Amino acid sequence: MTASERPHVSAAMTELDHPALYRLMTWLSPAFPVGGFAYSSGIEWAVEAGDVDDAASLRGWLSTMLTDGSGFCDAVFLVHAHRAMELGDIDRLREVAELAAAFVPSRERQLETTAQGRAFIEIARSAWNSPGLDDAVSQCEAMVYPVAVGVVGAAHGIQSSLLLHAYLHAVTSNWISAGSRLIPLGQTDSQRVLAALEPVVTATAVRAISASLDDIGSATFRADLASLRHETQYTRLFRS
Amino acid sequence: MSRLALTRADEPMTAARVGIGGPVGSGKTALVERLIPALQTRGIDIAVITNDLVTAEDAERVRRSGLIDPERVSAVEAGACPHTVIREDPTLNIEAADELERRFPGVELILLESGGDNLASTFSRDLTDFWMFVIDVAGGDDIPRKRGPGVIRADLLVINKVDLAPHVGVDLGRMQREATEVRGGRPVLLTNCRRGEGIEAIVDLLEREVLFRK
Repeated sequence: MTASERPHVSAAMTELDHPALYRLMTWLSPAFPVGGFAYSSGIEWAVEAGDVDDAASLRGWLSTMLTDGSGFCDAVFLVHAHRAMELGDIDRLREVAELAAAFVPSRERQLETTAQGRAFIEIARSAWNSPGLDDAVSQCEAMVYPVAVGVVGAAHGIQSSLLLHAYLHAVTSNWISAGSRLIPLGQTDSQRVLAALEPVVTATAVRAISASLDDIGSATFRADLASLRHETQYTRLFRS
Repeated sequence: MSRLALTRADEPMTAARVGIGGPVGSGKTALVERLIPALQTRGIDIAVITNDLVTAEDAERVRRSGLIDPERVSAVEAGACPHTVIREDPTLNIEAADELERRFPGVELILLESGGDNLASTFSRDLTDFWMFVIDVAGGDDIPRKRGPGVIRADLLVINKVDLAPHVGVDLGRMQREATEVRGGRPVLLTNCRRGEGIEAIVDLLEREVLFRK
């Protein structure tokens, strides 16, 4: 069964899928050492400015970031990086990697995504190396986080749909973690926000799976400005 | 075209990475300020990483000390808990150390000062080759007896501010004996960083145990 015939996560898992599940759980866990805890994607400024001040406003902010911002864009980059890697089309992979790096709206978001991408590749190579991975990595100048995840996932034969849902859910969870530390929220409210965003994560992933690179675009001006303003924020717990 | 750097635990590191941890105010930055000239005097090529929580205060203090080229001092704004960036997920510090090695290819030893933390902080072995834990007599002579992981597991325990012992009612001999006992005989050294006392013994140990020079 190919990936294209099985577009949804809900497909029953076979025995063969179990290692894929373990790796997704590991690679996209907050315990995986890519430094994710240090970044807020501009949420720290949004809290400072009062745009985000409770569970409801956090949910609204993140829903927009997923649907119309870096959530959707990064999802499309992940899918295209995965596809290029799967086909062994290194020229195509390099183009996707360059476009994804160019698409980042601010200096600190760039640090956030390139540092995590680099760490993801390095630890994956050290503990789960796979044929072709070194070669692909050496051909690219920089890999932002979603591209790194797409490339490593493809090198391990993990289908892009599974990988994408897991990635978007993990990113959302990390945003909520940042928001809950900053607002601050209780653990229960944080989980409620995550539960409420599940349909948004699903819809964003489903839309991204069939999107072309021309479909990419974002309209989250306030979130992008927040990540720019964060550079000069006086008291900071996060690097972005 | 530049390529992605590929380094991690399984590849040789060019510089020895030495961690310095310990509670807030125990004298970690003061120790760094004493170690810099002492290491340089012995011809050791060094660089420094500081971990500040929400500012770059410690990094600025070291940069402005005039002891070292400010370019060789890297600040990692850790943000969350100081132990997270040295133990649970040291990615940011590994990145900073790799970057210093790229910029200064001859660097032999990188001092990595943690943000002030509690007695439970330890360094990941992915991050450091050797780490020391700094406590001070004014924090109380019961600290070694509490047997925190920092006190027990560090490669070297430094007891700083020994000049204050008589003023805070600490029996220094007993504190050192108890520290050595809970550490199973592994090294415990005494310093007064303000006056620069006890620093040479630390550098001797680093030369022997970390740089294998003696």
